[in-house]
Amino acid sequence: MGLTVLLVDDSLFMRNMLRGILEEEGYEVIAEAVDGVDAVRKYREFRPTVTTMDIVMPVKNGIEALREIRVLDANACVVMCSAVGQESLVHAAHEAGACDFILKPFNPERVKEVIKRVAGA
Amino acid sequence: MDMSPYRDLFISESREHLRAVSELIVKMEQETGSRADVDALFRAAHSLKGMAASMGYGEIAELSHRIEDIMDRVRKEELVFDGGIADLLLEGADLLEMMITDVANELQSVRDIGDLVQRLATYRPGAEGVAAADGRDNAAVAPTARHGQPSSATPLHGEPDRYGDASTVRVRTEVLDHLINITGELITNKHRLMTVGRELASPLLDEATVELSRLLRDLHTEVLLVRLVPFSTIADRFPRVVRDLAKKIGKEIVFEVDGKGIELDRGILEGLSDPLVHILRNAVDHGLESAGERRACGKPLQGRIRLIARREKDQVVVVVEDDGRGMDPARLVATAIEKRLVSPEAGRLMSAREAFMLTCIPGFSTAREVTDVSGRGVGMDAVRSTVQALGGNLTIESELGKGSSFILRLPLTIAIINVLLVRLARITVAIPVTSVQRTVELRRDLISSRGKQKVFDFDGEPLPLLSLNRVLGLPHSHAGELLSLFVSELKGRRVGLVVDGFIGQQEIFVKPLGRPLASMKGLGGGAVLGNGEVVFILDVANIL
Amino acid sequence: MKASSRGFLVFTLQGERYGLSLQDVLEVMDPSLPVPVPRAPEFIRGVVNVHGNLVAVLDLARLFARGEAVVEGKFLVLDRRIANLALWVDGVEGFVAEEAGTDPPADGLIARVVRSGTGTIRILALDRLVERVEEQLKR
Repeated sequence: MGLTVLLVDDSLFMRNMLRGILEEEGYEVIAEAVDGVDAVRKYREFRPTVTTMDIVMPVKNGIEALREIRVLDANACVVMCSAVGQESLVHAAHEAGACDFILKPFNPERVKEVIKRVAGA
Repeated sequence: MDMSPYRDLFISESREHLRAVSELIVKMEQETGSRADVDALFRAAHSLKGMAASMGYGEIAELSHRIEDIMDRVRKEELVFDGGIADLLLEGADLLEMMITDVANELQSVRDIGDLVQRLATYRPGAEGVAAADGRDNAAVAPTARHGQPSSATPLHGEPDRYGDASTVRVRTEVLDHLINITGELITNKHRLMTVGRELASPLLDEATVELSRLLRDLHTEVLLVRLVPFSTIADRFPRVVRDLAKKIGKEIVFEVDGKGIELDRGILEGLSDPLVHILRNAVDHGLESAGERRACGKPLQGRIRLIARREKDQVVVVVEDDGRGMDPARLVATAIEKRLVSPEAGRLMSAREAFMLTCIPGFSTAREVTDVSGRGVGMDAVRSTVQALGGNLTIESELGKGSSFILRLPLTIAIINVLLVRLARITVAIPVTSVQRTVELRRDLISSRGKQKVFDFDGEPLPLLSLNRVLGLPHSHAGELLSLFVSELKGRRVGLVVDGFIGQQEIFVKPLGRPLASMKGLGGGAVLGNGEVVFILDVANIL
Repeated sequence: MKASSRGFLVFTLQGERYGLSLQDVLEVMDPSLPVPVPRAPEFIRGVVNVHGNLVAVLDLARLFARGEAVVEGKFLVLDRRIANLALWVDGVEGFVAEEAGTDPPADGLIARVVRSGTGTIRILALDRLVERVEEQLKR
């Protein structure tokens, strides 16, 4: 079975873009979530190989969602997406168990490289 | 990476964020905003920055970044959200809106963001910063507009709706327009099938067409539902409009919006925006008294304007109501006579309701002085014809010293309207029933002459007769014992429009004429009848 | 990007050859009887129903003040992005690929003139044409 990805971002624009990059590489985007609560719910339902998680989101932010997902599944592979200038958040995400980071704006090559690496691990 | 596939989405999503930004700023300026509002504002700027950077729009990203920064400082309580910040952020939101419009129009952006970026980066609270940011008046003593608690169903920070659930999709508006067209075509074709079915006398075909009818009704309902959007789509920017204007002319105003969740057809709602802005501007500028006047009358110093949307059967009623000075029907009539817009005898017969409608006649203005805010009386006539073109109507109620209400009644959906089909020489035209006050079959001996004008008695009021054939440049004989006519309002005056005959009333599916025919005065669209005949819909209020 | 669509549709009107960008023409149709529009100037022959859209029929010959359209002519239905308009012309000759253009002539409705084989083709400035029609309809 192929590799499945859950996309979490409150912006449809960002989700579409990431989906475009990932599908070009042959990954299956199995679900999308629009906030932290939705992310945890969809994670439970779909158990994706990799989750890409935006940090700044309404209702529940990405770091809180990451913590909950790690409780649900200690081996969950979650890649955090954060903008330049949020180094403090990156640190917090690392502590919460994120397996890698992608900086926004997305560089397609970097996205592909990170997903390939974490998926192979 | 080729970003062009994401451009449209970037534009629409950015605009949603900007709308949220304006709305939140105005809200926060009035009540000390909640933590959730501050966060939402921060997130909107943050998202905008991320999207713009992805698209490679460096300047949009830069400006959003500065707004995000200043909100981050507010969030961390390093800064207090005050009028100075509100002004700076609104200026930023306006500039971003222009830049996104440039993107939408595929223009190379030439906006200078440097100055604003600088002011955002170096903002310090206090009079100096405020004056620099405002530039128009001294904001420290300037009154501000307030709008009340959003009392309707759409909460400002239960955001899932705004950002779209992952199970929803966005559809380009052209696709919606296309869908409604195809549906209308199907309905027309069904009529054809039914005619054939009757000729063939085939029970099997009849059965199939009956089933087809049912499915088409369902399809039509669904398609119309898809086109419905909440009133908030346009209403959310009105607090800002009222605020800016109130600030400019120095009035204190409480502004409330009710019924933001009421849904209307997208096309109608878009057409409603300009008329409502005009009515609101009039209310702020002329409707409400100055604080001094209000004190003298023993009224609360703050004027009050309410914008209300509500459903009434198959219509949506939108009301703009103020508690200002109101209008004096006698004075309106006197002004109209003085300006030779009505004759003295017609003026004497006018009811209060008719007198208020005089404000919608081109060239009429009640404002005692001309201000640059709402211009000269131009406008209310445009407001009324726009509302009529949308298939609705406008009425005005007012009580001297108590205030005025402008009441707009609109169909829920624009695509299908009820019309009176009339025959004119060899053609058939459709008159929206909203423009028909009554149909009359008139005996010729009841017609009298007043100078060159033929008139007839309509409930005690002498109404002038006009041949619709003649108005439209068609042959006009109007033979026969009885004259067929309908009573309608032209330029604020009731007249009897004579036609060659009535065909009947019917629901038709309106087809927009588009370029170039839409620019012809008096044409409100077209339609194809069940028998394939093409008819034009007259915009009666504007045929002269 | 769309290299193939950079061609022109060539049509004839009163013995002259004209061209329109292929991308701007939705469809070529045989003429049908247009329903007259009350009060429209005479170069608007009426509207026809094209797949459910009401499309105004513009008699180019009348607009150019060179007689009027011939019954055996053709309707060139324009792309809806441009206008809800069909041009009534004398006939369609075919397509040509883009060739080097010369300078635009004085007449504002002709964008430029291109050479093709033995003759020349006047390429219509559609946006200006629609604008001119719109201006006249507003009166």
